[in-house]
Parts: sequence; C-alpha cells; structure tokens
Amino acid sequence: MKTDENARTAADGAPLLELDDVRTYFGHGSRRVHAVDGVSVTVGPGETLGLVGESGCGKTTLGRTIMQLERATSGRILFEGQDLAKLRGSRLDRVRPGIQMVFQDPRGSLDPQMRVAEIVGEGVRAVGRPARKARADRVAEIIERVGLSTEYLSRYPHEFSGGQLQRIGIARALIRSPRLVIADEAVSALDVSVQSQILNLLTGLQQDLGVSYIFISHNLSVVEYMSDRVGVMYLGKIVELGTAADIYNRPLMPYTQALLSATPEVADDRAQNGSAQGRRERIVLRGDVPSPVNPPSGCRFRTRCWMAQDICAAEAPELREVEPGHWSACHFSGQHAQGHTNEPAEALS
Amino acid sequence: MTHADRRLSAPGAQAPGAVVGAPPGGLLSVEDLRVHFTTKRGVVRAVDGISFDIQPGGRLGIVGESGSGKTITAMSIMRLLDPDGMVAGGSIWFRGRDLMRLGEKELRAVRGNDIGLIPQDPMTTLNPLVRVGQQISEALHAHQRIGRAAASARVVELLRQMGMPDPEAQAGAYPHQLSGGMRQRVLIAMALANEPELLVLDEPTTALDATVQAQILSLIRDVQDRTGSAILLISHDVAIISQMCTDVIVMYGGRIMERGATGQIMRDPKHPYTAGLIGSVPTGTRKGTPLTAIPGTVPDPSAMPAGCPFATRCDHVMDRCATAPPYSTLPDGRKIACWLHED
Repeated sequence: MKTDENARTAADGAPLLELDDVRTYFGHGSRRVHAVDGVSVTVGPGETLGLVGESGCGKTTLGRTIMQLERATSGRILFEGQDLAKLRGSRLDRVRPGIQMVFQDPRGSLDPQMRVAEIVGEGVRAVGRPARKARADRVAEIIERVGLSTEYLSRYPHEFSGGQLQRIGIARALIRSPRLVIADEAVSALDVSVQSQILNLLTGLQQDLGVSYIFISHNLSVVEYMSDRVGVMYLGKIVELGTAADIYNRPLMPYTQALLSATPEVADDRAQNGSAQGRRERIVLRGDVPSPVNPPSGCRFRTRCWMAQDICAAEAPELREVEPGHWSACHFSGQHAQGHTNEPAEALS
Repeated sequence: MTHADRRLSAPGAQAPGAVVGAPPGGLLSVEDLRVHFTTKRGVVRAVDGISFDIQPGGRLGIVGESGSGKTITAMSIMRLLDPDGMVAGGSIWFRGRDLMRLGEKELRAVRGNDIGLIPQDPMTTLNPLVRVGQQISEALHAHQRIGRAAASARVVELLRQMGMPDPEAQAGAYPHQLSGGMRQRVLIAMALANEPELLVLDEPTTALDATVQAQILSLIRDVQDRTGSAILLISHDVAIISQMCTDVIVMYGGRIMERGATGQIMRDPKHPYTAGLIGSVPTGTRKGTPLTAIPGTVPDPSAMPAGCPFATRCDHVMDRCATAPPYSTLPDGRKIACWLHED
C-alpha cells in the first residue's frame, strides 16, 4: 500500500482517466433505475483504483460505462484528455483499445467455438502475410506472459480450467496494449488457491507494463490487497474514497465501517481468551440495500444507519475531503470519527 | 427409491435401522465414507474414505475448494445424493442408528426432524408457487401432530425469531417477493421448525451480500446458542469457518487432509494444502507482495492422482506421496494425512 503522500501525487499528476459527475440511468419515469448517480473520480497512470460495494451499488455499471458498453446519461468521461461520452463511431473506436475489460465469468465471455489463438488475436487486425505472422508472434508472446504454454493456442475453451480461462481472458485484454484494464469481479468465480495465482499475475503485469487497473469486487480483502486507492459505493454513489490504508484502517463513513466489520477474517487461537470466535465486535446492519429505482431521500444509507438524524433525510451529504486525500459523504464525518471505529456505536440486529 | 437406496438394500444388508456392532458415541459419526459417481469418463471417487464425528451441540466446519467432496459429504448425510452417485462404503451413525441402512420412510422421519438442512440457494429450494408461511407449516405438519392455528402461530413465531420484520405479513409472501437474505431466513426457519439436533448448512451465505451475510451468520450463532443444536457448516471460505466453528476438517480431492481444533489449525497449519489455503487469503498482505499461491489447478476428479491427491500441486512432494499417506495423530490432537508428518 502506498502512503497518503504517494497517493496524492498519483491523483495530482495528469490523470489517465477522469470521471466528472457521471450518471447512468436505465428506463424512464417512475421505473428509472439510478444505477450510477453522480460519480467523480480519477485514475492515475499505473494506479489501481478499487471499487467495492454490494449488489446494486453500481460498481459494475460504472465499469461498463467507462468501457462504453453503456452510454452515460450525463457527465464527462475523460480518457487521456478525450471525453468518451461525446465520441461516436470511428472516433470512439480509435480510442477504445486503450481500455480493456476482464470479466467475472471467463467461460461465458470466451467464444467456445474459437481456438485460443483466435480468441486472443481477435482484436488485432492483420492484413497480409507479414502482419499475420507478426500477430501470431504477439499472441504467442502474450500467452506465455500470462503463464500459459503456446501448446494451448490450438485448443478450445472447454479444455481449460477456470483459472486458465481467466489467464486467456487477460491475454485477450492485453494484446491491444491498453493503458487501463477494468477487472470486474475477475477472480470471484475462482477457487481461493487459483485466485491468488491470478492476483499475482495481475500485480506482475502492472509492475512490468505500468497499466492502470480499475479493480471491481465485492471481496474487501482482495480489493485492499490490489488497490492504491479505494472507492466504496452504495446505491450508485461513491460514499467514501481514499487510500487503501485510509479506508481499511480509518473508515469515516458508517457504511464503510459496517461493510468492513461484516467481512469475516481468519481467526485463530491467538485471540484473547483462546476463543476462535468473535475476535472483533460486529456492526450488524438492519435490512437490505434499498431499491435503486426509488432511493431514499438525502443520504442513501440513512435507512440502515445507526447515526441517522433529521438532516440525513433532508440533505444529501456531499463527498468532501475530510482529511488530505480521504473523502467521505457523511454529514458527521470529521466530527465523530478519527480513528478506527470497529466498535459499534450501537449494535443493531 | 433412489439409485443409492437400491444399492444399499442389496442382499446382505441388515434389516433397516438395525444396529450392527456397537454404535459409536456422539451425535453423528461418519466412518470411512466412500461416495462414487458414475460418469462418462469413468468412476469418480468424490468422497474417498472420510471419518469424523460431531458431539451434541458441536460446531464442525468442512472447508475445501470445488471438487473437494465437501457438499457430497453433506448430501450423503442427508441421503440426498443425485441418482448417479452412490455410497460405495462406510457408515453414517446418527444417535446410534446407521442412516445408510434406513428405508425411505424412516429417512423422511429423520430429515427435517432430527437433521435440518440449510442449502446454498434459497431460490431453487423454495417452491415459487406457495406462500413461505405455508411452506414452513408443511415442514411442521410433516413431523408433528399440530393444529392449523397452532401451526400458523408457530410459523409467525419462527419468522420473528429469524429477525424478519412484520412476520405476520411476511408469512403470506411468495418467495420472489422476498430478498435473498429474507429467503435464507425462511429456509433457516424451516430447517429449525422441528428443533433438529443437527443443522447441516451448505454454503449458507455464499449467494448473499457481505452485510446480509453478517446478519445470517449472527442469526445462526444466536440460534445455536438458544437451541443447542449441533452444526455442520460447509464452506469454501476459511474465514467464515474460523469464525463459526470450533473444529474444522480440511478436504481436498475427496479426502481429509487435516482435522482438528479450528484455532490451532488456523494459527499453525501442518498440512501443505491447509497452509496454502490459508496463505491464499490476501488479508494483511501488502500490495505488491506476492501472495502464497498453490500452483496448478484441482485435478480432474476422474483423474485424481493415485496416492495423496494434493501431490501434483505440493511444494514438498516426494516419492512416498505416490502412496496415500495414512492418518496420524499429532501430539496436539489433530489428525493429518501427510508423509511429512510420518516418522
């Protein structure tokens, strides 16, 4: 993890990607889903921005909006200075290879009828024999870089395990030399022992190639490990943003505190009184995430928050910089919490 | 009668429920259980000779990755294997009776009454056309003589205990009208309806969001404290097992690799597979520092190595590993199957 100082520099330099008040809505009228509702964040070159949150928080839609698989309803998506939200047709196509995506389900995202060489090389146009030869060399080079043998190039997806397929998915993303890779739950479907292989691969690729990642996952410990900075999302908004150390050691927003305390850690018998259980008190939230069709007024977390006051229903809290580089969208951030608040103010059930 | 039942009532089998030899102590005792599946590629030994027991009120976890045989073990205890699976050997004693020798009728009296099952996916387990309250009261009527009004009152009481807001109204809801967390509460209520002595939970929170998972785990703890029923918790998540269970079994390739007190094993895993599994959890690892990764992938179940199933991925592999290691007991009481710990 980088220090606050480093993270600020990463964010202060010219960003690779800058999102400015991005909104992505689906549907119309009273059934309109506010999937992404005013997100502003930057990603620096070589930086990993983690996005965490539960289902329906908009993290996947945000990734797809950056990738232009969904078009933003409003806002600006500046990638290397160009606003992707404004580009259309061939002008968009020219910019697009710079951003690639790795999906959760490699089995579903790779064409079962294509050989590995075709899957990986598909994105590269090659006209004429020398170009095809160059492409084949590049495919072989990439497939070895992701830890697979070139013998696999003539095989079909069904011959591979989930971890191997994810390596193929990563190779396909890398062949066009992207500056930004969006990994959406890229290791969630994998067994734990294979998951760490893929995380090590992604880390090594970033160190070698200087690529930036947006690492989207519901798994908090994986996001902490992978990210320089982390954005916590709830119902379409980023509710807390900071370095991984800020978010995990000094969470400001009550939702982040609850989410962290809900994540079980491996407990062993070194804990007090020899019990393997209950090493840390839990904040157990009431209820489920409300529907993004009709989100609560004011602060969207207030319906489940143990600190909610009248002001929380009346006014939506802005995401504001509570301490250098550490942003929180809570009316009470900065007043109450400096320091780790994993002791619940009041346990709810 | 399922395929497995037919195999089990083959000639030579005792009368259903007959006690052969002295039944082992404890609530549940699994002895040398072997489950085989017939597939196109040959016979798969999904569970290959595992033994363990649970005391009344005990909390045992089984942790393992896909293909480890953990779910098959749970389903064998419930005698709910798919038709192409068959118990090829071993016995499952529950309160002195061998479940493998019970007929379907006697089994039905055990399932849902003495042993409750909480499955992973509430949506495919609940009947989408029947109100949830009705489904819970069916579980009650199946095992007790209880009047309609008493059953409805009990349903509402159960839902209230599960922390469902407005239980009277929720009892009238259809499954699709409830969230994933609420559906899982309904299934727990159903499993608890007849106050079973053993609850088998198969990945009970895997389909749920983190904050909802925390609610359900806390509910399971409360239920266990209140009713004193034993739990057998199956999970791929080492952290959940470490928080919920006092004892743990680590499975790989249909076998038990290591078994013992959870706290001990989490602090000081002795089997290379257990060590790799715990080391794969990134919590507390600095960004940029490589994680402990177990090389390779889980072998195809139809082509498991002959000796130790983990041999193909193990850093400590030696010639002896071509022969399956025996179970030995370490001085601290844990059981382990690894040649590294054989003197």
